[in-house]
Amino acid sequence: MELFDRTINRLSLLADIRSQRHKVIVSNISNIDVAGYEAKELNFSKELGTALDKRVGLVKTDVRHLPAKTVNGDPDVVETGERVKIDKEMGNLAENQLMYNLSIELLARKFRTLTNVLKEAK
Amino acid sequence: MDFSLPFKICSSGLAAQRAKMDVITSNLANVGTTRTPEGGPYKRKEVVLGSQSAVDDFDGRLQDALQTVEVKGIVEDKNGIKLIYDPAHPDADEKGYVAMPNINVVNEMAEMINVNRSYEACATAFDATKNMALKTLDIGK
Repeated sequence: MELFDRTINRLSLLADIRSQRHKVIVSNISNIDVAGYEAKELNFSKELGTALDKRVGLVKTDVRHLPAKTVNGDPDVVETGERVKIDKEMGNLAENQLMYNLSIELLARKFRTLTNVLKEAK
Repeated sequence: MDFSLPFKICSSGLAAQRAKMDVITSNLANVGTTRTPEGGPYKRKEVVLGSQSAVDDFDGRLQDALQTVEVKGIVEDKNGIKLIYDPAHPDADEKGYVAMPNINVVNEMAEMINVNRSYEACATAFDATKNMALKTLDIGK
């Protein structure tokens, strides 16, 4: 049995993408009064899909190959082409924060379970 | 996650909004100023904000998406100086007209509310970041 199962990996991936999205939202809110600034958005589901899909990535067929991180090196950030809407951004901020906290909470519980098992084994 | 970056972005937003507020209060305070060191009445000032990439390393991830705000400069609005007939005023010209600043108090007050709201939004974002950073520490508990 694997001690750190897939759930832990996936939860930390989820928290990572949530934190990336948080950065994009914060940037939008800060730039609200800049003339000509267009709101940006992280394509969450696509980022998650890319992160979870193990097949994405280049296979090294020779030891001399240089490492390539991802196939689409650019993160999927889209320019919405419209001005920052404060209500939408604040909603996104709150939602994203809650979901981040949720992933962290689940992750913490997962580890707590492991700790419990280790304690009982003594 | 690198939490210093969102903190940096939020505080740049807060600083920019505070600079705007400073200029608005200066405009409001000088609504009746007819004499300035450079001569003539006080002229309405306005802050120009610009964004700048927040990530300066060569990492590439989210490089274009994350932008801090900075004050690019403060411009003077020279149009719309009001001439008011008041021959008793010490700064009146020979025809009895006084040049008054081009400040519309209602506009400035409305702008002040706007800035206040934007500042609050930045402060909320800052708080959310802090909350997330603290929550992350729960993992080890």
